[in-house]
Order: sequence, then C-alpha cells, then structure tokens
Amino acid sequence: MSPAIPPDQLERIRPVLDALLEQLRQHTQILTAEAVLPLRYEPEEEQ
Amino acid sequence: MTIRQAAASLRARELSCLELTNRCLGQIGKLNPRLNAFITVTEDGARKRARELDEELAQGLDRGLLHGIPIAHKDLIHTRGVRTTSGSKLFEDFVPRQDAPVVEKLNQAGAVTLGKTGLHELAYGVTSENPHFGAIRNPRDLERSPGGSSGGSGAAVAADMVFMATGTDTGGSIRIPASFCGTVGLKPTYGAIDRSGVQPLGLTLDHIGPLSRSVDDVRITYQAMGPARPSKSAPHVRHVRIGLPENFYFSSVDPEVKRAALEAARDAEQLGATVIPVRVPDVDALNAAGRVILLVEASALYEPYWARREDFGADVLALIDQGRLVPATDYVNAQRLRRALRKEFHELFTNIDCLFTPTSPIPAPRIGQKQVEIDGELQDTRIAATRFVRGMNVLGFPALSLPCGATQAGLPIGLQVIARPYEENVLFTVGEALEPVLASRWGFAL
Repeated sequence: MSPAIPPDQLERIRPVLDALLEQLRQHTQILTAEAVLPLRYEPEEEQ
Repeated sequence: MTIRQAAASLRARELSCLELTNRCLGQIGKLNPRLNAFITVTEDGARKRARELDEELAQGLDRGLLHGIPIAHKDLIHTRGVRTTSGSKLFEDFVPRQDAPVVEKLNQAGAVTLGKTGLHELAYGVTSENPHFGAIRNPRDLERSPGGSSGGSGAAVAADMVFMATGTDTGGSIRIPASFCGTVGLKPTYGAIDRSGVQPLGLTLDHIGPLSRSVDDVRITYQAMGPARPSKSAPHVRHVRIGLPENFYFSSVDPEVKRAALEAARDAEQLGATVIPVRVPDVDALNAAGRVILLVEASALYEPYWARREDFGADVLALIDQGRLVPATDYVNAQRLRRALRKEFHELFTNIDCLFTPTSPIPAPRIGQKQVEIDGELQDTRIAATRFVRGMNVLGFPALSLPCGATQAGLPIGLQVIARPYEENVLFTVGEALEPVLASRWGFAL
C-alpha cells in the first residue's frame, strides 16, 4: 500500500496543485475529439 | 579558448592533452571550493586518459576536434566505475557498471572526462540549491544561483573548468543555466540523443545536450553525441526568416532582458536576416500541460521511493506528492492539449525558420530567493524562470540559448532561438552569425 501524504503536506500543496489543474482545465475543456490522443494503442509494437 | 582553438594548439604541439587537462584541473582545484560545481573530480583517471591520447596523437591517431578536450558530465549520466548520485540521497552510493551511450560516444571522440557536475536534486528544479550536496554558485556572482537543474555544468563551463559539460533538460534545465551563467546551451530535438543510461525525470519530456562557451563548441560536441538523425542543412543567415513574437514572450519580462533580446533581433536584421512579427499559439496552455505531465511522470518514476520521504528535499518532495494527486483524466487531457498545440506551432513555422525569445524573463536570482519582482508583480522564481523554456520540452522542438547581453549589474542575459525538429543547423547558423556581435556587447571573451 502506498504511504499516505501527511495532512500538513496536503494542506500546503493542495492550493498550488488545484490552481494548476484549474488552469489546465480552462484549456482542455475546449478540446474536441479532433485533438488526436497521442496515447494510442499500437498492437504492432507488441509483436 | 574554444575547442577549435585548443584542438589547433594540440596539433601544433604548443600544448599536450595532459597539459590542457592539468590546466583545467588546476582551475577546478582553485574555484570548486567556492562554486561547488563538481560533486566528483576524477583527477587520476583524467590524467591517465590524457596521457593515452597524447600517445595516440604522437602515433598519428587523431580522433578529431574533441581529441584531448577536457569535459564533464552532469551527475545523473552513468559513468562506468564513477559514482553517479543524480544529486540525490537515494543514489548517493550508486556506481554504474556501464557508461551511458552519450558518454561512450564522447569518449570515442577523444574527450577527457574530468568529473561529474552537481545539479538540482534529481534534476527536479531550477535553482541547484541541493540539500544533500550544497548550493552551487554562479561564477558571475557568487551570491546568485547558476540556474538548474544543470547548474554545475553551467558553472563549470562559465568558470573555464571544462570546455563542455553535458546537461539534461526537462523544463529548461540546460537553457536556464546557460542563460544565468553566460554560456551557450542546446536542448536538441526530442529523441535526437540517446537517453539510455541517464536518470530520467519526465519520461516524455527529457532531453540531453551540451553546454559550452561558443556556438561552434556546442555544434562540435552535439555532433559527437551522435544525433539519431542528421540535422537538415541551413540556409545562409541572409535567407533566414526569424519570427519575433508580439505576444507572450516579451510581456512580464525584466526590462533589461527584454531590451537585450530585442537588440539581438535587430542585430540579426543587420546581418541580412528577415525579422517577421508573429503571434505565437497559447504558451500558457503549453506550460500548464507541461507542468501537469511532468508532475505525473516524475511521481510515477519515483513510486518505489515514495516511502523514503526523509530522503527527499522539501521542494522535490512537494512536487512528487503533487504528482500523486493529479487525476488520470487531467494527465490524458494534458497530452491531448500537447498534441493540438504542437500542430499549431508547426503551422507557425511554415512562415519562419526560427523564433527569437528571451531564454528566461529574469537574470540569475539570488540564492534562496523564492520570489522575483517583474513589472511590479511578485512571481514564484521557479515558475518565472521556466516560463519561456518549458514549452519546447512539451513540443520537442530544438532550442539554443546564447548570451546576448548583460544587466547593469553584470549578470548575463540569454537569447533563446527555437527551430523546427531536426533543424539544429538553423540554430547554429544564426547563433554563429550573431555571436561576435553579441559577445562584443556583453564583453564575453573566449
């Protein structure tokens, strides 16, 4: 099991991370299916 | 002295490889106690190798321009039998059994490795204030940061300890120290240089490249690193179209930095290049995507070490913890955004050959300085320092930083030149043409 992040650390980092994710989501919410997902599954790579 | 000048002296028998190595080791001995640029100095091995290379030259075996040239490697690049710490307590006793391919290639080219340079812990930061190995200091001003994460490499090159030092760049880690220390630094095209045997950080963002004192030195060492594909040949500088951004890159910038970068564009125009005002795609979006991708990739990589919290410095641990909290949906969407923006940047480059920007909005901050003031606004030093460089890690486009001026306080200012993937030659051509003009402006002597 992963060790938990201590509460005081969570309190410090949460606002910083939330601000970054909010900024990202402002840009990603307008993405459409046309923006190709680069994480493609390429079966031939496994052969 | 440049690599080409040293190579000429070696062949004219004005200097031997051993003498050149001793000269650099002397400089390290004199300055490293103050700069802390090196974690490990491989004095004996370097002298032995230099003697072998002298013997080879005497027998007529010439490996080329790097034959007998003293260099160093960032201490996250594996060197056989030489401790490779990654600037971390996790790897403080790690001694690789093999050289990384990039080290092998430089060895084969005849370079003499003098040791391993210090870095920001795990290459995860830009100040090089390392809690385990001490802060690295900027040779231009000892109270200032050399930048990072390749801070030891920047300091070692700027202080004439070596002719070239390798660096890695995941969010500006070659270009920021190049800019803050007044050296040239190249982040090549993503994937151009083999990354095996190099401690990773951002699995889809990491790059390897050289820091050196001239564009020609960077070109020589980049070629010796064995790029995966040859760079496309570049037109003469008179036929180069330079994009000068009207948005993003010249706003919220230190006024002295802005002035120097704009003057460099005017200099390029004087040399015959065409300067075209352009509007760049959304770099704020690119930076947000890059930061989220890096948080997740670095945390995934260090998952086996999550329990060893006391072995991380506070700033790195905070980033590792943040990465654990990012929803998978945001990581995937950041990658989608990356793809969309890459397309927009390729479209921008249909009308230009390269883009000019300042490397960093600020000159070197003081050691320990958490915030910087730009345009009357306080900003986080780390976020500010990476604002103009991170985007090219996300896109994989090659980017060169070269000194283009100095502040009134004598701190170097870097110009960033960006080109299309595998068009490093455009960077070299423009950089070499501009270098003499820029060098005379900031008084940098080779």
